[in-house]
Parts: sequence; structure tokens; C-alpha cells
Amino acid sequence: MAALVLLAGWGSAMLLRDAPGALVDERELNPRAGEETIAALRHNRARERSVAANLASYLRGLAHGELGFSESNHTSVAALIADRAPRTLRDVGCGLTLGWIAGLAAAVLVARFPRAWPCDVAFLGASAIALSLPAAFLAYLAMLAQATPKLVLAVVIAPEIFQYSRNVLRDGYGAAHVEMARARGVSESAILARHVFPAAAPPLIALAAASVSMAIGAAIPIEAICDAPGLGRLAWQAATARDLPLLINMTMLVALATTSAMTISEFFVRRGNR
Amino acid sequence: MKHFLLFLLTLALRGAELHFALAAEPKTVDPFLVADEPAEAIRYLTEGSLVRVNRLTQQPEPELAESWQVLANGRKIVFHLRPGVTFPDGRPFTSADVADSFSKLLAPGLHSPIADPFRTAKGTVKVTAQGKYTVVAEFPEPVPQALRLFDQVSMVSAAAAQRPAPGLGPFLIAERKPGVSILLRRNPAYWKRGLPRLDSIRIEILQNRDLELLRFRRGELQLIDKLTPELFDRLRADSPASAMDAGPTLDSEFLWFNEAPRAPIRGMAREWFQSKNFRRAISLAIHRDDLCRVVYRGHASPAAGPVSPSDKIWFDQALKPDPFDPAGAKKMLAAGGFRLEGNTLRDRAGNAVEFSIITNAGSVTRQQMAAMIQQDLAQIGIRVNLVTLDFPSLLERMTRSLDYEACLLGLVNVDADPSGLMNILLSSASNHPWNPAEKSPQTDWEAEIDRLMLAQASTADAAARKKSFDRVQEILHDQEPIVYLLHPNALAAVSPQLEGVTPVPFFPHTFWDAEHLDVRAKQ
Amino acid sequence: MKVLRLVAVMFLTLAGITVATADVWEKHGYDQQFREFPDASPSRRFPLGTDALGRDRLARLVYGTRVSLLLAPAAALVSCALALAAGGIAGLAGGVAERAILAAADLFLSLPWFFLLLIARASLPLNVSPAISVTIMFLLLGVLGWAAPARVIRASVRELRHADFILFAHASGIAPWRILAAHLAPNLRPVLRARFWIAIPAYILAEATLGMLGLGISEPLPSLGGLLRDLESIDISSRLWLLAPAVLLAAVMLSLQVLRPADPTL
Repeated sequence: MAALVLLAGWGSAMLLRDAPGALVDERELNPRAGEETIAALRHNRARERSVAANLASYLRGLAHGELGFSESNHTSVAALIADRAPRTLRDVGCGLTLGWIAGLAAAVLVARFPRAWPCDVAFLGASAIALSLPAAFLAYLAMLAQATPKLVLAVVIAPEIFQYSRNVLRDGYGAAHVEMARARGVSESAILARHVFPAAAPPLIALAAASVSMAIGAAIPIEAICDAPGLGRLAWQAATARDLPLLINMTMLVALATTSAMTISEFFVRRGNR
Repeated sequence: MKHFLLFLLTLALRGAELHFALAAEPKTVDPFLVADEPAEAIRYLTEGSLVRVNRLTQQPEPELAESWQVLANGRKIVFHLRPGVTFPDGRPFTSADVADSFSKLLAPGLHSPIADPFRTAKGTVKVTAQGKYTVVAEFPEPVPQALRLFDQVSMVSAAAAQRPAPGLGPFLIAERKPGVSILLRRNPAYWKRGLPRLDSIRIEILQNRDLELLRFRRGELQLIDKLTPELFDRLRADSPASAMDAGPTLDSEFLWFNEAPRAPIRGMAREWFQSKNFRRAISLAIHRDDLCRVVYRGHASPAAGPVSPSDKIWFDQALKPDPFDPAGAKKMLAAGGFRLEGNTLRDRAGNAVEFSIITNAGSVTRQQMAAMIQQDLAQIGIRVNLVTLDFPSLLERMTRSLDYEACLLGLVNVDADPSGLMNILLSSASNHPWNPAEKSPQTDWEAEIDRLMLAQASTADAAARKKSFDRVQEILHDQEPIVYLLHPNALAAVSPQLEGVTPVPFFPHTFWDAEHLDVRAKQ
Repeated sequence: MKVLRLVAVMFLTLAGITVATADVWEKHGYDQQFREFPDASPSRRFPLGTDALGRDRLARLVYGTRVSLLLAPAAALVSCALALAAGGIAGLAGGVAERAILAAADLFLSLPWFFLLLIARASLPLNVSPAISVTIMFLLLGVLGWAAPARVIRASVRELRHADFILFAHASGIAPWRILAAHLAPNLRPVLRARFWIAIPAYILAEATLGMLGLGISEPLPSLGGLLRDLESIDISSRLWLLAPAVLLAAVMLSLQVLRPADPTL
């Protein structure tokens, strides 16, 4: 996993090196800037773009806990991440929690009570509509309604959770051993807690890991549109400003989160398949 | 005792906090390296200069220098500093600080764009201290309007170990959260007694203009320095008193064609762009009034050249914007060897005239203008492909690879004086749009522009300068290497809670008089 | 459910026919500017009003939907084909090859996709028509979207790898690429079909997101994303007809979801 994370960082550095606009500095367009100043700006920019030199110094710094300097924010990357990460973690954490609570509660309701089919139809309809609209558009509507990014994330996550858990829990309720338990007079809450959930746990945990990856992916356009000062907006800014140190670090963070989520997801899928 | 009274006075005059937003994080807060608008906003609010150009009257006024004499035909300026001014650490401000500030600003390794106007072909300005409160600035040759240049130079304490350091402006940087907000607090040592009226200014970094207006309406922001035309009209519909149109800015929007011989574009396209008839025809075919009316909703004026009508001194009154005249455009093209076959314009060799226009993604007004220009040029048989690029990619094509055909962009003009356009109009300049960094002028008219711009830059005779620059504007209007489209107005939002705001067309449009602003308590 | 599927089919068919025949019945082109009527309200002449440049919103909506409906399936086809190749090889070969391909997929998922698209967009030739440029963008989306379905296909191939008919094919000396193409692929049809139907709305949404971030299709060609972006800076509370692109997008996506075959891997 560590190798993959470093590869992701290196990959983004290579991409940036060859990206159009990597060597330009907007300050060159300042009408006051004379030829020497413009030449100096270009020289500095070219020096920053040397991937090999920068990667070596970056790795050396990483060993000492330094993550480089962000030109576009004029501050250290470590300070930036430390400043923005709590906001994103809070938004993603709350969004995931709210999304899971809403999605799972709705799924349990429709799985447990087959007669609640109007609710099933309503939830399916609502989740389908939420899944049909881009996260960026939902973020825009949320901005107009003065809702926070965490609510948008919850709205993005909940439908996937609902639709998947609904199927898994319905399968669980349909299992023979559940029918047997019901016939023996076991209470419904006990059936849910001791028979349905344990069987549904591996795919649900796999989904939980995947939903983390989903939430991180959705956070970028949501924070960009809502102007929320989190890691998502930082990642967007790193790309548009061609900020090499920032982009490397943001890519590595995303790689770490994604590969961790995938690994956990794989583990529980395999466990469930045994 | 004096300090105690000052303290009481400060308490008595305790003001509120002003909130507004900037569209981007300042690239630097080092006052000597300011090169973008957000950085200039912070510098303007926190630093002091010898002279301040009053944004309302456009005249230089005494600031840290209480008087001055301009001698030797503009080659020498003697400044008399204001006594009794101190830095926040209590150190007195003297001529040594001025000399030291210039020494640091003009240091070769710094490469400051603020320093560049102080350098001429014959050498760099020399600033020396003569006595505790007298400073002499000597230029190797006359620099026109040299006094105005001192508005941009911040006076930094000679004892400051690093920059930025607490300065002589009305406010000090108290807190900075990169990408989030900057908090400025009143400078307790500010030399203007009783000012600023505000206690603090909180500046947020907000990239989303809609969000900025939403927060303004909610009362979370009291000022918006630059509004887009749609948002302005939306605000004006609800709160007409808050929406202020200060008239045309110094800025301009324009289109130019890539005429660089080394550009990797089609040879036939280069031939079209190098034809004066072609460029003039394009200008005649574009409906400037529609651009102002539809895209800018009436909050812009058609442009005849680089100078805005709000620049009363340098605007050439004799020049008028090209009228919308597609018939005239067709005649011009016919004279240039082009012919219209059905709905397609063809050149002498029979090639269909088709080219691309690049502009920056993220500017809705520019994309709309480009779409309108596309339709206008279709009327004269020209097919235009529009390509929107993110800004670094656009810059790459404009300044490095030169791999583009036409570009639609704007200029944020910081200086009303023609010398501010030297680095654009000189053919040898890297920012010379249509053919950057020419070793020698490619055409006679470019050579004449070079000669005239250098002439106006080397004399202090206002009449002679006006004559030279008027001629430059006439040449640009005749040759159209840049098709000037319009000058946008300065559109601002000002909360009724705010006192002392008079929006002006020049940056900063609303907080140029920040020391006199105050926020009334909500009722 | 059957009723819903029928409604979805009818809606998509109607939408498809409407957009396909737009050149016949649509009075105004999507790029024609009626500059005397900018931001007009709905009327007989302009059923959904006009945009800021006086262009007929209905025409732009119809042509924009055409772009998305035609090109999103093409992008989905590209990503499924690439996913089949990568996932198939990974699942069949196993061992080092499988780990390498999975690592490549994870790496692809970690790289900033919007940055890749930004670079791709900036590198496109300037004088291509908007139609070609949007086709290239969608195909790029397809190429970038192979990683997630590749993992799913790999998992399915692993399950099938030890099936009798595959073992028999190996034992008969059939080449691995032929086993993949002739034996595995047909058995992966349900998975591929599910992934294809999941991918179509994903690409419509991806283009819409890019449009909202200002990286969508160039003027004047409309797209659903560009039309959603037009909603910025406009007061929609008093002009609800402006939500028509969002409503249509939601209806198209809903129909695709209803018609989506069940994913056998879930």
C-alpha cells in the first residue's frame, strides 16, 4: 500500500510536469513587470518543475515530517493540510454518518415490514432522484438553501446505502434460518440483531469502506461549489494552480484513503464469500 | 499620560468590524512583491507610502511625505517627510527607512514588478536620505508622472528582520488562515489621529460569486468590491440602494490575433491575421453595443482603444468605437482579396476562412462574448471555433508555445498613465500580445508605436506626451492589432450599514478610503 | 415494477425520438441568438424561455440531451471493453499479473481524474468542431473509467476460473486470449450488461459535473452539464422553468436505473 501511495504521488508529479500551463506564472501578465522580472519568474517556475530534483528533496523532507511549500497559498503544505483536514474530516464523517443512518434506517424499515411498500416506493423514488443529479448540482442547490456540505454529502451517500442495504437485508430476511427463528417465536428485534445483521455484516462493511471512497470523491466538487475551505477545494486548487507540492500530497492522501477502503472492502467481501 | 489619553481616545472611537471577501488568496503579503489584486488589496490596507493617489480625484496627495518639490525637469523629487510618525513597535519613521525600503525594493535579486517602473534604459532611481526627514529621489532621465509611482511603494521599517512586518498603514495583519480568511486590526500607531474608524476588517477568501452575494444579502458581508453584471442586476432588483455602478473602469476586454512568425499555426491563418483589412473587417463585424447590452446588461461602454473614457486625461476624444457595419466589413474583406461564396468566406487561394478563439474557462462574461462574436462573424461567412481553457493552459499557449490563433481576454489596468502600457505596446515586450518579444518591429506602424511610447516615457511635458499617446491610439485604431471591445463598469454592493463609501472606477473600488469607513450597528 | 419499466421504456423512446428528430421539428437552432429577447420568460415562441444570449432554451435542452444520450453509452462501451480486457487478464492469470493489474486500477482510482481531464481538454487541437471535441471528451471519460468495473469483472472471472468448462478449455490447449474471448466473455455478459447500464448514467453525471465546474463542452454546443451551469447567477426561485434541464436529467437517469438489469455481483 505504501508503494502504491508513493507511486500515486510520483504519477501526479509526472502528470503535472507535462501538463499545459505547468511552467507559467500569472504574475508574468502584470503590466508593470519588466523583462528581467518576467525572465526571473520563468526561471523560478522551471526550477520548481524539475520532478527528479523536487521528488528527491520532497522525500527527504517527508522523512522529517515536512510536506513541502505551497506556492499558490504561500504557506507550508503541512500547515495547510492540518488546517483544512479537520473541516473535511468533519464534513465527510458527518455526511457519512447521516447518510448511513438515513439509508440503513430506511432499508431496515422496508425490509422488516413488507407491508410498508408505499414507503419502499417513496424511498426508492427519492433515492433514484438523488442518484440522478450530479453532486455538484446538489451542492449548488444546497448553497442556495444555505445547507452545509455535510448535508449534501449525506444526500449523495444515503441513496446508495439505502438501495444496497435494502437488497442485502431483504435477502437476509428471506433466509430459511430466519423463518425458523420466527417460527420458534424469537422477537423481531432479536431476529434483526442476531440473525439478519450478522449475515448482512460482511457486504455492509465492504459497502462502508466503498462509501468512504465515494464520499471523498464527492467532497471535491461539493467543496469547490460551496467554497468550503476543506481538502476537496484544496485538491481542486492544486490542479488549477499547478501547485506541484500540494498536488503530490493531495494525491497521496486520496490514494491512501482509496486503497485503504478498497483493501478493507476486499477483505470483507472475501470473508463473506467463504 | 499621552499614552493613557490615546488609549481612552481609541476606546471612545472603537468601531465595528467590516467584512468583505476577496476572490482568491493573495499570492504574497510581502509588500514589495505584490503582483495580483488580492495582494494589492492587503498592501493598500496595511502599508503606508510617501504619496497616495486619491482614487476619487486621481490626484497624488501627501501621505507619509507631507510635501515635495519636483526639480530638474522631473529628474529629481525632494520629499519632506511627516515628523512624528512611528511604526507599531514605537520606532520613529525617518528618511533612513525610506532609503532602506528603496534599497531592498530595487535589490537585483528581488525581481519586484513594483520596482520595474523605477528602472529606465539609462539606469535606476537613486533614493538617498538627506537629514532625518528629507529624502531625495534622482532619476537618470525624466520619468513621467514619477510621483504616482510612489503610491505603490510601501515604507518598511529598516529594523524589520523580515517581510511583511507591521507597517504604517491604517491596519495591521492580525491573523492569516491561507485560503480561508485574513483578519486586519486597527493600527494603534497610525499617524492619522482618530483613524481608522473601523476596529478591524475580516477578509474572507470566496471564489464563488453567487455565495458572496448570498452572504451579502444575509448581512454577513458588508461590501462586494466587484460584482458580475447578472448579480448586480439581481441585487438592484431587490435592494437598489445597495447596488452601485461607478461607471467605466480602466479595464478593457479585447480580442487579438496571433501574428507571431514563429507561431505553429497554419500559414494561411497567419496571412489572414497579418492583413489590416481582415482585422478591420473583424472589428466592423462585431456588435459592440450588443456585447454591452446583452452580456454586460448595459454596464459597459464600447471601446475605441486601450484607454477608458473614465481616464479623462489620456482618453482620445476624437476616437470613436467602430460601428457595427457588416456591409462595411464585407467591403473591407473584398478589398483584402477575400470573397464570399454563399455563406462561406474564402481567401485568395480559395481556403474557407475558419479560425479558433481561446479564452479562459471560469469567466461567464467572456464565454458569452465569445459566443456572440462567433455569431457576428458567421454573418460575414467566417466560421469560429471557441475553446475555453483553464487559465494556466491559456497562458501556456499565449506566452510559451504560441499555439493559438486568436485570443479573447481582458486587461486589468492598474495605472491610468500610458507608461503603464509600455510592457504591452512595445514590440520588444514579452507581453506584446500579437507578437511577443520581437527582436525588431515587424512593421512600420509598430516601429512608430515604439518610437512614440518611448518618447512619451522620456519627457515630463504633459502636452507632448498627450500628443504622442494620442497618435499611438490612432495607430492602434487604424491597424487594429488588438480589437478593443468594451470597458466594463465598476459594479459594487455596499450595505446600508456601511458609512463613508463612495465607489470609484479605480481599484480598490469601494474600500479606497478604508480609514474613514464605519459600520453602523444593526437596528 | 413491470409498469415502471414500461413507463421508463416509453419515456426513453419518446425522448430519443424527440432529440433524434430535433432538426426536423425544432424551429430554432441551439445557437441562434435572439438578442432582443435575452432571459425571456416562456411564451409560445420560446416554450422554455431564452437564455442570457437570447437562445431558445428548449432547443438547447433538446440538443444537449442528444449529446449526452448518444455519447454516454459510447463512453460506457469503451470503459467496459477496457475493463473486460484488464479484469479478464487479471482474473485468469492470477498471481503477479493479477496483483499488478489491481494495483494499476487502484492507482488509476487515486489519480485526480479531474486533473487528467483538464490536461486532456487543454491538449486537444483547437480547430476541431465542438461535436468532435465533445466526442473525444466522452471517449476520454470512458478510457479513464475502466478501473472500477475492472475490479468487479476480475472478481467474477476468479469465480469462473475454476469452472469445469474453463478447466476443460485449458486442458484442451486453447490459448488464454481465446478462453477469455470465446468462453469467459459470454458468461460474463450479465456482469458486463449491469456494468454498462451503471456506467451510462455515471458518464452523463460526470459530464454534468465537469460542466458545472466550467470544464464542459465548448460553446455553442449545449450539454446537460452546461445547461445546469447556466443556473448559476440566476434567481431560480421565481423562474422555476429554469430547472427543466435538472428535471429532464433526473427523468433520464431514473429511467436508466429502472431499466438497469440486476447486478449479479451484488
